Amino acid sequence: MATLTTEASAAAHGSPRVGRRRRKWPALIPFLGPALGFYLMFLIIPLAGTIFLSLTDWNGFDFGKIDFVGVTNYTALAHDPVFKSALWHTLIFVAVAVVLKTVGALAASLAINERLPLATLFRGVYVMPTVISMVVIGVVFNLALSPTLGLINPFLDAIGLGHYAGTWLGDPNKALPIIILLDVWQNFGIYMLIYISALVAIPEDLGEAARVDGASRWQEIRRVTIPMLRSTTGIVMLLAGIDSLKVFTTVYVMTRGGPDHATEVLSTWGYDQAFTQNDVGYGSAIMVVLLAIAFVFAFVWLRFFRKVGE
Amino acid sequence: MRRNTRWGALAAAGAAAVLVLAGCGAGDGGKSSSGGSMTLLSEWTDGGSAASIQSTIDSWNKANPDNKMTQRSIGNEDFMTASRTAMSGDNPPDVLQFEGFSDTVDYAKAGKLVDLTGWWNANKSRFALADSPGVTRSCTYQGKVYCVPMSSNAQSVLFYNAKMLADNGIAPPKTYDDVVAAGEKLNAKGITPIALGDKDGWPGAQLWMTFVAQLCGTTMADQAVDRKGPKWTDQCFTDAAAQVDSLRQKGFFPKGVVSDDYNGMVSLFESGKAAFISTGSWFIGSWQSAPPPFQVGAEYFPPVTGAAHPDDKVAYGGDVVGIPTGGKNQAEAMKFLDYMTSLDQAKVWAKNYYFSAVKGAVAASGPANIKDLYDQTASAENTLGSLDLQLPPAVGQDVLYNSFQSLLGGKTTPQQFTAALEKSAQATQGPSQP
Repeated sequence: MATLTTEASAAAHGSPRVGRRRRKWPALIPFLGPALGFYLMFLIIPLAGTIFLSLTDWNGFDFGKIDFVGVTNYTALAHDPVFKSALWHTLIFVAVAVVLKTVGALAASLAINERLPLATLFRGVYVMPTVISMVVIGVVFNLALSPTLGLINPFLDAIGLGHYAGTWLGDPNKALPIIILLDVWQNFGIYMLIYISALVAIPEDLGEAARVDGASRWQEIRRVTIPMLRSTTGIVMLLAGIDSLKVFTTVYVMTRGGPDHATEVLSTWGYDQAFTQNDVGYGSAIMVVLLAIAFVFAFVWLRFFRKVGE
Repeated sequence: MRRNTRWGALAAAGAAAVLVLAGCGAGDGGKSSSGGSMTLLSEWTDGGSAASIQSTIDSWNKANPDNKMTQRSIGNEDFMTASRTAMSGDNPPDVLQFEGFSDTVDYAKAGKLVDLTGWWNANKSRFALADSPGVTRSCTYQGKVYCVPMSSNAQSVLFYNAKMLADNGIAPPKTYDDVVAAGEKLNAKGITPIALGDKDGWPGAQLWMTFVAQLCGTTMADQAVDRKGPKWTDQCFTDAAAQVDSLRQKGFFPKGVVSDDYNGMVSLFESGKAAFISTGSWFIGSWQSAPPPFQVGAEYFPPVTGAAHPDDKVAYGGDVVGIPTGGKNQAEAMKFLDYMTSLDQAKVWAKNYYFSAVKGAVAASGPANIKDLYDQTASAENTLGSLDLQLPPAVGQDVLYNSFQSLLGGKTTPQQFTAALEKSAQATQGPSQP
């Protein structure tokens, strides 16, 4: 009975652990408040604003003339050939860039992990592009690839490969692949670092056991190392995918979506609609589509990897 | 002790939060911190225009220590977006330089610009081309004037490397046939005849407009913009595109015509790798800080044989200035506008190779080598405002730029180009009404 009384009393006043948690909240507010404030101010509110604007017709100048048009902007997307090609380019960009970034980062991290001569140097070399501004990289490569003022065509001429010289970014068939390769080159270094961290965490004795069983180095990598990196690969592919979905600067600086929309992606087309063509509602609708794709991609990817992990 | 540590951390976090919030609230909303009470936003980032506006601001600030002006300038390619964003917010500049036409309409329609009709009527006698369509269409909306021209832009100018032409036995061209003959001769020697870089769309579109002015005439082009009769698929507009396409087929443009930008085409010309460059008088403005290493000849693009309107020119008030209604100090901003368009100030601009819109400025202090071109511009009878700026952005800065880029890349025919333009104009502005 006494015990019952004590339990009833505890239930009435909340458990001591819950009470402690509640008492902690006021103390946590100063720590969490600024970050939450920024999160709310610079992410949640703009996000809600973008979704709201995607349901309006607004030229971006006069807040008094925002007309609610429902889903008109979304239905218009279905009849916009540039949107369709931008969507296609975005999906191609994500698919190719994710594979290349992941494979490149994995290969580079495995090679560096072998502690070959100059491994440390190459680790720095691969990471270096990540810390350089994309604007700078875009301007430099734009100039280098220029058929009239650049270095690539004269170099190809000089080494007897002049027949491979081209118009590069001026060629609608080559411009997007070039931009994808540049994006991969710039960003794969950071994913390589993630892989290197994961490689360090793999217990040595697993490799030793494989070697004792007679596995070659390649078999050890294939059968032990790569399976142990499964969850890291999932994270790398997720981050690379989101990174590629958001691509804007690379395209904007190098081609501005041209020639004739050949490199247009959702982010550049949305930006162009909202800020050049003064159709903020339509531009917002494009950005919401991009956001939805990112959410679906992240959700499906996480579910898939959780299932694989189980 | 532990309690003290926790409260200490709490106090530190609180102080940090206060500092962060204080940091957010500090400053003056992004304005320059040089202490001015007025601000000017422009795209005058380099060359003669940058030197000139700085000179004007310095002399204004010296004479008006209580109403100082500060400026922020943004490069051309990003300026349109930046200026529209500034105008849509609650904190626009006191004085805005922009490029008129569709921006004037958008700003005026939204009540973002001060009506300058009274000031303009009282002072327009000081401006060249004041009553020309190239200027009035740039600054007028529903019969009211919302901006004033700073420059008289000559857009269809053919600049040439005088030494290169002389070295190759070519006389400065007087007709379009001379240009073609010179180009063929240069091509045969492996020299790029005409520098052109259309990555941003407008340099190529401007070359098309040059032929539009000559083949269709300024009146017909303006009517096509207004959807009052002519369509973009009318023969002369297609013929104008065909002229450019013919130059492309002859190999007159560099290989990087689609991927190089304006700076690239200027570099090509100034490095002596191309004989001609077709662009606007703003190119001259860069000579103030970086003169070309050779003598440059300049004249309006020579008339095409058989053109119906050989003397019609693409010329307009390129840089225009307006007073945003949301500015903090409109009365002083008006005084500054009056000051910067005075003859004394215009002379400073003209001295810096700027095609000042103020009458007499270039004659009084402009460099000798720009006076002839300026006089041709200022006395032009039929002037056309830049079509890409006149048309709604969806037509003028999307379809016009992209389709013409495609034409320069050999992927689109002149007929397909004008058909795309007409389709976009119909979708955006409606059918052309007789």
